[in-house]
Amino acid sequence: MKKRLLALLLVSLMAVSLFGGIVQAADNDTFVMGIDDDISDLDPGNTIISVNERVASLIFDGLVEYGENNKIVPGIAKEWTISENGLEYTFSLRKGVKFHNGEELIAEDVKFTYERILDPEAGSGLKAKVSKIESMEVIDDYTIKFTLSEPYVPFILGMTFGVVPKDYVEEVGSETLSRKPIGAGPFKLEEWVSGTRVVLSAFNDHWNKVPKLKKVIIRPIPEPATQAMELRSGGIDLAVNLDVGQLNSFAKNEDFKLKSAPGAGISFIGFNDKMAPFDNRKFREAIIKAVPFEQMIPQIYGLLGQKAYSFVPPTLWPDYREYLKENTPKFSPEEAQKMFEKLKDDGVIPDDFVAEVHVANSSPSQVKVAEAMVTALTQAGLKAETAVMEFGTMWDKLGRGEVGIYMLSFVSDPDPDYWLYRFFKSDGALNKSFYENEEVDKWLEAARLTSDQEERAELYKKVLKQTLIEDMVFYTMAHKNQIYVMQDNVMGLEPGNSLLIPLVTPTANVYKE
Amino acid sequence: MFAYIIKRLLWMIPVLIGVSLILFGIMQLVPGDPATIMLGTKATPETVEALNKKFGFNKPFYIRYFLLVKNFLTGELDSIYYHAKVIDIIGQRLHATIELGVLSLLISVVIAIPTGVIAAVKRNSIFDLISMFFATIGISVPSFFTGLILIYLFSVFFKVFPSSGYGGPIWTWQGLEHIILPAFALSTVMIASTSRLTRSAMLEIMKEDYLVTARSKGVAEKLVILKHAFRNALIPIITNIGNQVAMMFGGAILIETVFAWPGVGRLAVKAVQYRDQPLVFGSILILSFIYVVVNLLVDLLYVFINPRISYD
Amino acid sequence: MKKKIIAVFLLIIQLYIIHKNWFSRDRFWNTLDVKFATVFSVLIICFLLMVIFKADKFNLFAGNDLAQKTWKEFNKSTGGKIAAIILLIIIYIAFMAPFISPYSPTAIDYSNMTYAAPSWAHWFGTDDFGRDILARVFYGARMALGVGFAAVFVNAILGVSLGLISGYYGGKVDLIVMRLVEIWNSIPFILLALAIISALGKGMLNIIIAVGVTGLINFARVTRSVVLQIKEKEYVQAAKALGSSDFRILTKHVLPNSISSLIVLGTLRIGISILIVAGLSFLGLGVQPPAASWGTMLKRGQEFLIMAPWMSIFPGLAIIITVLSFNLLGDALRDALDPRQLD
Repeated sequence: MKKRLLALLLVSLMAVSLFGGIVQAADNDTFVMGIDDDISDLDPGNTIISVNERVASLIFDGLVEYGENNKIVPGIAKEWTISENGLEYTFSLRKGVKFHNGEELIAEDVKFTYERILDPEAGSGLKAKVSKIESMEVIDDYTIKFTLSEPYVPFILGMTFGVVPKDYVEEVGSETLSRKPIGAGPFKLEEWVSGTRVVLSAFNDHWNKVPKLKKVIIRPIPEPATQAMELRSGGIDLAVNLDVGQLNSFAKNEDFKLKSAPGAGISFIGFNDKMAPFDNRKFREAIIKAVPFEQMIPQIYGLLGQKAYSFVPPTLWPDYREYLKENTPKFSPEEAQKMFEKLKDDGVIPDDFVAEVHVANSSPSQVKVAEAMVTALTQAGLKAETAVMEFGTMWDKLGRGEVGIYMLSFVSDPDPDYWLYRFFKSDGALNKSFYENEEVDKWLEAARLTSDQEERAELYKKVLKQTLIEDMVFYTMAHKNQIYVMQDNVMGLEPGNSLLIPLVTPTANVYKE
Repeated sequence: MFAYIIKRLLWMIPVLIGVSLILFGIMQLVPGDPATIMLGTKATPETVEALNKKFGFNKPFYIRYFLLVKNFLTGELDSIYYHAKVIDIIGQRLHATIELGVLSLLISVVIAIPTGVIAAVKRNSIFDLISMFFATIGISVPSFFTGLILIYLFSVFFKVFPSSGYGGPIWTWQGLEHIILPAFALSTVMIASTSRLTRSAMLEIMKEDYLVTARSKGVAEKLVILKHAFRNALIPIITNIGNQVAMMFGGAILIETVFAWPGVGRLAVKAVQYRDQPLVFGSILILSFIYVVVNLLVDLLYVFINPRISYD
Repeated sequence: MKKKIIAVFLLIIQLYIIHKNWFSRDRFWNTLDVKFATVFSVLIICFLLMVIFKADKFNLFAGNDLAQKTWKEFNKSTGGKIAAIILLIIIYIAFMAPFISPYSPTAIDYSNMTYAAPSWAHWFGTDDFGRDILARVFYGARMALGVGFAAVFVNAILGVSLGLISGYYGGKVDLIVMRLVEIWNSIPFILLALAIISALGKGMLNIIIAVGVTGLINFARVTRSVVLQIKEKEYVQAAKALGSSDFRILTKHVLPNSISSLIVLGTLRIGISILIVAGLSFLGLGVQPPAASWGTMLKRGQEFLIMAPWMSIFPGLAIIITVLSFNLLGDALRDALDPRQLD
């Protein structure tokens, strides 16, 4: 094997001498970014996988956009009016907004975009947000009116979806759109080599501003360890999905900038309310008391997140964290042990019972929490195991109600309705705890009908109190931060708290020095 | 000879049918469906149903199997996750897999066979001991671990090679510098096992009578080794390489993940994760096809090396 | 004499360990782990006492020329001897883990969950939960060996049965069985294991099954070739003529003759199985945490490769040394048993 080493050495020496420093970041006009998964589909009506959404958001622009602090700001629509009864939304579009192929964006395109999403055959993951649309009316080329079947305040967030060019899609079909997207966003697709890279170039006719970066290369690097090393070696300018261990190694390194935005998303524990013994509130309380969540979550998540007390992230109203924090059961192993013993004596916990904490292997931080949690439960006298599995397998088991205790994480848009309705409503699509409470249902419905934010906040506070404290069917673990690690010459990039990467937005225009 | 090749080529058909049945069977057992997995927390019962209908998951399983086979043969198979033709997706990646495989194979052959021969000729020398020690270590290290160490050493520490990704076709400089690390990581196991095997095959042959005779007749030592011994030792070596190539495509999945290499193996893993049956079907059938072809080539090589073997 | 001195020395160590655990730490029969360790310690002590007082009982091979020759051959290989000793130590560690680990492998100090470099208190350092890595490597040994042996056992049973059937019956059966095995083998093994684990779900048993059913072709081919050679031997023909049942012929005549090849192959396959399990852990489908397993430790270590390299170095070394030992042992056994049929 001397030979092998020798050959390796020779090759490397040759490479160094011939092309000294071949590994260098691209020039200042080119921005290379590593993301965590293969990009599979860039049709904005289909972007149900977060990596696709991240890339598509650079290519497409919506009627409205997220500005600072997640305020909705004008996008392609320069202004809009909402009728008194909250049923009619009228948008007036900017004139002269161009698609990448040079055609002008008009109201027909907007109508077409939403028709595609609403088409039941298409099965778009975005449909839920706009399913209240009853009809759309194109008043003239630059005005469109949406009529809702009932008032739905979070509706405006559904207007952020990327607008697609009607003529192009009708001509080439949906499949081609998903491979060769044409939008009105700040970047246009230059080249896409599946599994290798997506190359975008600046769209100089963008309605708002000319991107300072001339070229954006997006590279899927699934293994976080590799992504960290790629950043370290200068191969990429931005890494977005590093684990806490890698983040720590960059935190004190002056060659890199580490920026974070607090708490988008929620990681939580759910109990199955219809499965013994998890349907017993005492049992759930004992589990929560047995595990020192408040101690371990900051240590496990580190830079990645913060302990969550409410189901909605801290950037979003209602601000109810203090109350919830006060009233969540505190860690007290002795008490938990006694409760478990009593429950065993009462026959609530069968003799051979093993609590299986279900968690998806795609989220390392949750797996760590599950691991520490199982250790703590075992110490408190409840037999427990982790059940780490693929998301797909777990999701299937959840759907069939075979899971007693599970961990999930969830990211959504800035309206509490998106965060609470689906999980806590009896027939909510994500209510995998099979939680049923008539009052909670009533409050959730009521909050959809009124546009008075204070009134809504009160209703949501009631919901949070009932589900997290009174019934204790859910336990909130952490709000995950958006963390970007970048080379120190990247300027103007500030993580927002949605998943989207704000390279060119109404408030930002990233460049390299 | 010709008839033999035809026979072997025909044999691929039942193999591929068998593989497709096994795959379909296992995928039936795997819980979860692509719609719910892709939609994840965005799922509503309504959209899940719509998507499943779109993907044809509401049909009975035997019909789905025949549809898969039919669409596979006509090239109409649509990937669920990638929203495109399976044949196009694989087409974009197949060359990366083949480049990586062939380069690793070349590296291992070029390094392993001379090492093995020299180790055998100079049995118990320092070279023999050291090279065989490293070879034994080589087959004992998890390949993904080797990969990460290589990245750390050569791209973070020495900054010689890029750490991951596909740079382009192998004949371009970009492509070459990107492929070197993964190819080395992938070839370690094969270098190790082939050099060990070469050594033992050579030792075995060198004990044989005719070599002893040749030597006693005064034929130059080099000639004995190269002409007689090595040629005969090649048969087990090639058999081993054939087996190793199969193992390599298995091991390549881990290497592809570590190096973010856009190969078919990683595609197949993705497909299994997303329960994308058409893609599972397409990508694994392609990998199996490569395996069968490699085995055929190995068998043909036998005939080429040793014309006494006849298959007719 | 030298042997006896070593044995006495080992006996003292063993007694000390037992004293510490049974009497000082009151660990005798509390959990399954400890029960195993206790039984194992008693066996070890009996064995050592035998070596000291009844050494002559160990000349088992006295009457058996073949065994003696094999033993002599095996003794020639330094690598094989070292590997055997290392493996004995690893097996010892695996059984005795609860008695010899300095700390618990899973207990977490929740007030201080962070890694620390190797030190006197923690020889291998601690992981990101503050758990002692030495203890986890010790406990990981049982996982690696357990899954490795079990998977190879499954592998061997299936592979050998297929090989026997195919070799013994020959003709069409042979053709069909071997072709099926070939088809099975042409699916990349990691993908096969991945799909099987996805289908069966989590759990040790499922990992064993998934690893156990990959690579059947090795055992099947080796067995088949031995059977083909032996089938024609006179005594087998004679047994057949006398009306022995097929099953009897297979188990009485054919299997004993192939055992040496199978042992060698099995030894090598254990190493490969350990690597496959590590690979599955890398893909996130390995042994369930918090149980200590080398593969998952290595996977976790990657995250801290720069900040805490010891988190990956020690489990990595444990895998390498164990697999290396199995390979060296396999090589030595191959030379000693000389099963020509391999390769």
